[in-house]
Amino acid sequence: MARGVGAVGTAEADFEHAVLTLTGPLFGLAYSILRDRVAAEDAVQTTMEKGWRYWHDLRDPSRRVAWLRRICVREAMRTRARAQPGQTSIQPGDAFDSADRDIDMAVAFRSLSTKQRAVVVLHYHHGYSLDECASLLGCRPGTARSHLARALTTMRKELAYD
Amino acid sequence: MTEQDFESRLRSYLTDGDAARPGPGLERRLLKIGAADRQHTWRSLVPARSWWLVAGTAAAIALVTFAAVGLNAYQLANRKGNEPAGHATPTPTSSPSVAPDYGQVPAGIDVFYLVDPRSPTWLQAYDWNGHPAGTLKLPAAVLPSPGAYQPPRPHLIFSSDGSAIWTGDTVLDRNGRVIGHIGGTDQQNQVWADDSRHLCGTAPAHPFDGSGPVPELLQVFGLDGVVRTVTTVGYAAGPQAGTDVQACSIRNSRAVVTAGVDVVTTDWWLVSLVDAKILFHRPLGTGGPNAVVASSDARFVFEEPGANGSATSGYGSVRDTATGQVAARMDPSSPWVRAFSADDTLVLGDAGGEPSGIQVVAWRSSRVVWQHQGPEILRAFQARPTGQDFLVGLGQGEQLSPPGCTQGQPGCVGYPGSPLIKFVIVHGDGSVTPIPGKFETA
Repeated sequence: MARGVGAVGTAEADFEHAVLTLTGPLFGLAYSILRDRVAAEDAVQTTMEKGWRYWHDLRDPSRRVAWLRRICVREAMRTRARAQPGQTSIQPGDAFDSADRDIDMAVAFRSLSTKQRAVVVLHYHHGYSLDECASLLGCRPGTARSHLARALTTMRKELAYD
Repeated sequence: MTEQDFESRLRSYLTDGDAARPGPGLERRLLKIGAADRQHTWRSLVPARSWWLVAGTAAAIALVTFAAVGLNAYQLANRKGNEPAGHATPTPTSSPSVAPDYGQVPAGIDVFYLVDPRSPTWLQAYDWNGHPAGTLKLPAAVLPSPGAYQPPRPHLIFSSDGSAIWTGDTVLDRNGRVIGHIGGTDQQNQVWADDSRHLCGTAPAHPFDGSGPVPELLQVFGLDGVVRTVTTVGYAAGPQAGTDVQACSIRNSRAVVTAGVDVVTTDWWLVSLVDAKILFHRPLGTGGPNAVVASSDARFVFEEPGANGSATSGYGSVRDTATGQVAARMDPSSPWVRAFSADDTLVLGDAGGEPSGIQVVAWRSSRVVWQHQGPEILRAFQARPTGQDFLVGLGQGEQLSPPGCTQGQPGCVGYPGSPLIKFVIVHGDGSVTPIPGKFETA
């Protein structure tokens, strides 16, 4: 039987297992917000560094996945904020590449603020409820709701749906 | 172009991004973190950015295939009926294709709203005994495209007692009648006050002109359209930095306002709504908590642990806003607080999307009043506007495809669980009242 991330074991072995099982999902989470492979890798690396730093402090190992996911979302947002304000760090091959087949939608999505992007991605793509989005982002549910509302309004306007 | 076109186009765009994969070097670098730590050298790891040039795409076709399977399953789970509003019957119906119509929502009782997926344009009102109280058929003008816009509807903000619904422009009562207008406002930072008759929010004192941060105004909005500026508190510095109202208590004449840079809360203030005085200011710095949760009466604030962005270490604490002193320090194994009960004695928390640790806790004593036993995760919640009750929405977490695979295993793809949620009312004595059926959040 596969060992869970929260299973009993040495810290190093548990952490190695977390790396092997969670790198892909965390990268996907970060990439969906950042739409930039390099920035997403940065976010995942920082997430795991922070995760390891506090790995021994966690009294409830079953929460590790949730913790790492939460850190990753916030780290992705920080990563974008550190880039050029209002922009992602666009790299050759990343900007409007195969993952951006709908160029108009890509432009509309990239026009959103980081929090707006994150709520759109977490809710529409990853299936989180708005209360869950709020928890991941560290804001109140009403704020998450407002970010989503404003994001949709902006995107509809950008795409001439209004 | 319809709303459905927009949503499916948005989902399609986001799904396209699933093809992106980390470079092959990322996992190797991450594996070195634990090992390097034993040699006290992990801080010198090569930054991810420099590995970019050697990073190739190692995506397997199978992963894409399974992602498509997962998406299809998600889309199937999201598919809902498209019944037109107005299919009214005077008594509850039990048609398999249409949600029951419980009639008008009575005045004078506290209600909350859920959405029966059979009739996604209706809001089903329930009282806090778990009984159906009425059915609000949303006016067509509220729906961008009637029948097409799926819940949750982010443009609808509900007051805690269910008596008022803000649409971003007009305010509706529990039967859909317009009872007020709050125009010309920025929806982003506004919340209902505890009297359900005012909204509170922050807005920049003037437009950004590139000269630096702009002071934020704390404002109170009445249903009659009157806007009262209370005072300036904090600064806005573009989309990444600004203020939020965490609690606005007209009854207690106080508001809690936070300032944050990105996701880090850097300050919070207790503001008097009567004389505009800053009653307490707590600067937290850029290493401050990731989240601050205030009680609805603005008497207590929970500060999430997590200096420098970590949500994993340290102690969360509850502070009395009147004194600024720590009223209780919570153990790291305590749940992450999501809400206070209306009487401020209990908190609802969870383990951030994991089944374990969904608890209602008497925070002063750390006594666990109720703990969820089951595989579901916390997907929605609301505190009753009086007393100790919480509405708790329990639903499916991330699902893995194919069934039985483990996360991270090649070919194993995660996709969102069903949007349908079962709700229970957790009472202050730990007893539970289930609400029959499964719903979506309003």
